[in-house]
Amino acid sequence: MPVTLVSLDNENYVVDKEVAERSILIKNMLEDVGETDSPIPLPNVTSTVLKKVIEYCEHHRNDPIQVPDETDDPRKRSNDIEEWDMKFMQVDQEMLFEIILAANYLDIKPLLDVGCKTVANIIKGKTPEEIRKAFNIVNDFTPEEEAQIRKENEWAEDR
Amino acid sequence: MELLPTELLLTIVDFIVFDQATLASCSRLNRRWYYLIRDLLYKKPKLIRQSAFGAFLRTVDTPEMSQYLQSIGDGSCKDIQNLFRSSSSLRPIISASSQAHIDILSAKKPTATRSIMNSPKLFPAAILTSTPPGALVETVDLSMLPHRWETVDFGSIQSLTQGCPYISVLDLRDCVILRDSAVQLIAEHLGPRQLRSLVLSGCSKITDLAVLSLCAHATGLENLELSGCDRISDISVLELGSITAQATPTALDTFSAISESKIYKEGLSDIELTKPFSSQSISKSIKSLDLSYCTRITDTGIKGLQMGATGLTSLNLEGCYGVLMGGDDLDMNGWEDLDEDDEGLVSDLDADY
Repeated sequence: MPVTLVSLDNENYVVDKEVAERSILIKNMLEDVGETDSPIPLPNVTSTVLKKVIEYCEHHRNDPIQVPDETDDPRKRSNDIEEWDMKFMQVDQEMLFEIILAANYLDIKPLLDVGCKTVANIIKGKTPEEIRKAFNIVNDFTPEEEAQIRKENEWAEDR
Repeated sequence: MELLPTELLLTIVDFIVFDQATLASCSRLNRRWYYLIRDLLYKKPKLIRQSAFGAFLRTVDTPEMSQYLQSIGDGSCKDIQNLFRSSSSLRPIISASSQAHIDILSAKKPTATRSIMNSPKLFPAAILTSTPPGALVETVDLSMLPHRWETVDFGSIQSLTQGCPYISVLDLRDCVILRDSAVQLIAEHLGPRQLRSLVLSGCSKITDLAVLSLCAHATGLENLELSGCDRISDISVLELGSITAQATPTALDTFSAISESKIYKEGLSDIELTKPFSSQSISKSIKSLDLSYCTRITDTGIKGLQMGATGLTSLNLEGCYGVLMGGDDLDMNGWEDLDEDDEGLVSDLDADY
């Protein structure tokens, strides 16, 4: 049975229930409401982002539901991203963060993880200057503070 | 990135949390990241190079640490009850009133930082936060530090215990040049605060004096590993198993008297009586003990240990050739000897036993 999703800018998207239910938010909503034809409003997601999210859910429609594995050693958790997802995440930065926000709002854990991993991989191994440049982060330290933190963290930056 | 809520930034940070250098880079991005990362960076420092260890000690062992302890009323472990009450919490113990004080301090109000600004030496981080980095350290594991057997000395331990008073897990295995004096520092500085696990395996120069000192101060210790410390004798083991308070009503006073003279020279007597301190003893807190290859230990010590250390769930006596007691003795005391060979030297009890 198809489900209609409505984006912030009132675009309607008709998707299979199975696809829509990759989002735990929507899944719970559908469970609460029961069988319904009425469209589901998603007032936090714009159509461009929603389109992208639906693309992800379509591709991963048959994935097994991710079991929370918090008992696992986080060290073993890999930052590897599968090929399709990697390509899927090749978007501009604004979109990348929009996807992360939408995945968080819609409660699509695997998509949230892929998004966060993508950002983490960009950060990895970079100097503060490089990271600031990559993400347009404004440095609001005074030069003194900056020098002091650098000194404080010296032990940790031993690569 | 700046638009992401903190919880999402933390999800991202989750993927770099074991990359210490990147984590350190992130803490230098701006204020928001600094506050976000700092706790994570200092909670469990990865110290795998001598140079990093040296730099780490210089960062944490500063005069500002003692000022900080005074400012939160922890200058001489006065807040012992408070310490015990929140022993399970991960944060450094801070009483409600001093917490408020700190909140004010960290709110970056220029007036509120005056107590720190007044001090002649200005610690780097004092501008950004009143908590010195050492106060955030919970785990120090030197087991991957090369040449620790010839470089980690009394001075290192002095810096470490002064600079990181809230360590709860400390691994000093094979720091062979350490003597009793270093363990005494650990016992006195870290013991009454947060110390839960201490590994001294391979520190073969330490003697009963070190263990006695731990018994006197480290009353919340849950794991102690002394493998190969072959100067340790039954005196240590008996003390580990002794219920310091002897469970008698008068013991409180006796104990206060002892601790006044021995431990708390700094005027604790008035507080002592109101604190349930005597109910705390290492024999009650200890859960796991590794005495393997402590060859001087005999049945006498182990029997005493069994009597007192009721919470003990894991005991390693491998290679303790002086311990001869068979499986029957252990069974009689409700201990299950899981060792399959005849010697019955190892009894590893399941935690859920």
